[in-house]
Amino acid sequence: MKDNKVLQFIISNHYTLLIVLSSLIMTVAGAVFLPKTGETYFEQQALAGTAIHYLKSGATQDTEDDLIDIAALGGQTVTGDDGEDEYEDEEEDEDIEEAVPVNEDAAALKEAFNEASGETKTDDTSLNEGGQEQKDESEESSSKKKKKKKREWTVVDESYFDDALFIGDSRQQGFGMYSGLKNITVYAEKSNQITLVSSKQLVQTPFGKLTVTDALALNQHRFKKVYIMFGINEMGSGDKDFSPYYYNLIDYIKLMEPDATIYLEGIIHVTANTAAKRPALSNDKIDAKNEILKKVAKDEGIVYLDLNEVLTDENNALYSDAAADGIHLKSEYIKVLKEYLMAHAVVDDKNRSGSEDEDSDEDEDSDDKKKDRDDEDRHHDEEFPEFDENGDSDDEYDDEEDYEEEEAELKSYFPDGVPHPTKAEIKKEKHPYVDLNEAQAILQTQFDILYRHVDEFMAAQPEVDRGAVTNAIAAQVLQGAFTE
Amino acid sequence: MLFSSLSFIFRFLPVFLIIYYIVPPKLKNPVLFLGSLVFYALGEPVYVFLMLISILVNYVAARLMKGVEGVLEKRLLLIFALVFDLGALLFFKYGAFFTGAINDLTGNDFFFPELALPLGISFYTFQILSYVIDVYRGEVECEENFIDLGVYIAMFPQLIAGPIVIYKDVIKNIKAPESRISFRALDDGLRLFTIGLASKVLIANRMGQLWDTLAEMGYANASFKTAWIGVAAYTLQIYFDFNGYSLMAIGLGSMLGFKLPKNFDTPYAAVSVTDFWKRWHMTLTGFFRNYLYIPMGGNRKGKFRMYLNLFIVWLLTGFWHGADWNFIIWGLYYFVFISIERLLFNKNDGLLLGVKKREWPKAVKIIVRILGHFYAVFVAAVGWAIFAVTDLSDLGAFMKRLFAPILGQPLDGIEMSSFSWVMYAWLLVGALFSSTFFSKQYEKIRYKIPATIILFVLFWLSVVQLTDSVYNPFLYFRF
Repeated sequence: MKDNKVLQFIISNHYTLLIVLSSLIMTVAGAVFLPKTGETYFEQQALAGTAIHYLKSGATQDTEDDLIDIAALGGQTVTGDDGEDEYEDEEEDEDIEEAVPVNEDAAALKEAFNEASGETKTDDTSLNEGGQEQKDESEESSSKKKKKKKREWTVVDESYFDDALFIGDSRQQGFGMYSGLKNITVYAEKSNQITLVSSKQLVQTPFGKLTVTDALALNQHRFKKVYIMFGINEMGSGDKDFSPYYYNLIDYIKLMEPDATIYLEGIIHVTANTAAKRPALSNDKIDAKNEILKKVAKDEGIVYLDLNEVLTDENNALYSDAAADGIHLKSEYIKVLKEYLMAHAVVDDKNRSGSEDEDSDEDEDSDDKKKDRDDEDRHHDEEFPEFDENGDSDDEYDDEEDYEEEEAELKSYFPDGVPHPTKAEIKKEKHPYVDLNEAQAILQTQFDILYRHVDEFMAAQPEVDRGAVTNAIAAQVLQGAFTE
Repeated sequence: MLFSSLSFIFRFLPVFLIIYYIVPPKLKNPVLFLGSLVFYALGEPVYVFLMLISILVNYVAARLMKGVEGVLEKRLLLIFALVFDLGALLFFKYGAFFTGAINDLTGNDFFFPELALPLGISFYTFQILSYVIDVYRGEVECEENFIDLGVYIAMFPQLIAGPIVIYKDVIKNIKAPESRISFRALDDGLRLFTIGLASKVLIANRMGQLWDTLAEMGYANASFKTAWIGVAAYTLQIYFDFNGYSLMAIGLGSMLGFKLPKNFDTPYAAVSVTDFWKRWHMTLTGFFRNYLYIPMGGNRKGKFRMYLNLFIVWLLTGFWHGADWNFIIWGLYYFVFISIERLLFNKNDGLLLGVKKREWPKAVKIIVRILGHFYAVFVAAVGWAIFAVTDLSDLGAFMKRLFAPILGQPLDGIEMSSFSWVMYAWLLVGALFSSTFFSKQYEKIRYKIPATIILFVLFWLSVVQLTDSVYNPFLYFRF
């Protein structure tokens, strides 16, 4: 009798039971499996990114004292001005390291960072208030911090965007579709977020879809301008601070595209109607987020673009006819946005308008450097054929002979007795990451090492600030202090 | 809070249901009322008080009406309640519109603050009105228990977007909480909820993307083909969106032990515009019929008066949907078709009644049905184009694109770049699921294992879709 009733119950309510049971299973499974994937991992990366950022902007790696200083830094904001002195010193060095590395991987990483820092100096150049020469600035840097002169923009034409990359969310995607710019590259998709740049696969290639970070690694040294637009999809997360993710992405882009001018586009407002209906998207909240983005741009020494300058009405909202759903711009307004970008380009004043001569990078004084760079430029297109994961190419530099030639040539530039770059080092420099996976692997190894040691340290001394510890240990990792 | 959101499905709903099922019958109404207030407050932390005050005012008015003897006093109380209810609705929903219209007419520059529209105000206002009018007419006893009245008006399944429930229809249920718990009803409700959820998340949202693409590129720029694809997408979107939401509401009602009225009856299977409106948003047309058309005399005061009544009802039906001129045009658009159909085909005095009553061969009847079917869907689709485009100049431009061949205009324009055969397939799927064929088939397998499996799959597909996207609009949400 009793069995019948239970059975009856199950039969007549089997759908409810099925849903309830499956929901419980999913909840448990999610709690167990989720931390290892996607966002939490990237949060770890973000912490490391912040560490690296602090390192580059102020720290040196020489003494114990400096290590302690780094630890003391943790949490302070460092402006791009501090970084200039660092880069200035780098400028004297050749961008090819001579020291024999203790740890090959660490050396590769260090080289990569030095390259990036040596060449992103140009970003800072272009950022100089008043467009002054960067070299003489060490004395004036302190006074510069106090002055806030307006940046001088360069007006460019559409060809400026021929080697531009646009990263972002559905609004950036809309820009890609309706701007009328034929030669741009767009890594953007609906519901993309800054937290998903290394997990959301959206860039179409013959081999399948890649994440933004993978695509950047694959297509290194290809873009001279990178525009980043995120923010609207993150508004739903309330007060969560996404700046570590931005730091990480920007640092990564600097690694992958050392010659590029990076533009951080401010979050566009929503229409007043939409803001009223969806308080999470209020324009005040958007403004607050944009202040954070401005700070990120300043810290990183990149360009912040206040898109709302041309898209906002007198009530601090997006023009009510600019977007059918209040969020995504109509094509007429995409054109307005494009005009704004064209009127707000940042180009090294040594250059002309930036619309011609895409290949001539803002350049240093060293002839050697110029020659190397010209060599690089000449070979870039062949060096990095598109979508070749395995490094297979009809690249001129694949032959040993070519490396020997290069070595001989470089040897001639060095005075006698001074160590010159070996063939192996040239190879490493020309093809820092032949294999798409190698790039990830190298960075991955460093992060793994970093976090293992950080976790050990934190377990032993939990009262210390984790960020500071991360910074300190990151410095040691770069020095090659840890091999595993 | 939307029904089609993870926080509702996996947090609010389970917690509420557990509490609701556990408490003894006499606490069920208070729990339901309180839970509904919490539900509303989560979306509208400030306007929840407006709704509470509205309930209170009407509660008091109805009780006073019971106390007084004279018709005049009763009428005054009714007018007071009506003014308050409609006043609130007019103020929050139409204030800006009226101010704008006055400014346009008189050249002034009056200012009306940009207010957010209180959630569901169009729906709960009509429910309150139906209650207080019925009390006045003596058709129901006034509700002495404030909580019970609160349950009627604020019950969360139908609070935000209907169906519009008449007090008479649920009063028995409200007064009998002990008979509400039935696990069978819970299961049925969950099934309905799943169908509604899948309609909204899997079909409607997808169709919505198509329409939004069209909106982005500019209505005036679309090619002839793209414009019609957009209209087809919107036609399907609004049906699956609104029907989906209504089904979710009815399902939830069932889970709570209430039988809420059906709101849609495969409207795109209609054979005439009149038939369409007997199947679309049935509770709204029912409301307008019982509380506006019939009190104004309906068709019992002569031909002219009937058409005038129809005119007013359709004007207001359109206007209820949105505070903009295009909605008024939309309402009057249907007035024209309804009137013509009535004139020609009304079963008592239609001009073509003779034609209609003749015994036609079956083949002819079938052909007429099919033609009527195309006619109804076409009229509805063009109606949705009017409904969807708020700006009048945009609307005019869009109409030009839609009717380009007739107007002799060129057919080309921007095509949808993201459009592919997948979208055609989705449009077809949508068309199929809105047909009676499909609903009949579903009825056949409703309680069998195949249906359970299908629903289970749909449920989890919807949940996955919800986790993935920020894009989850609800077209009728602005009500």
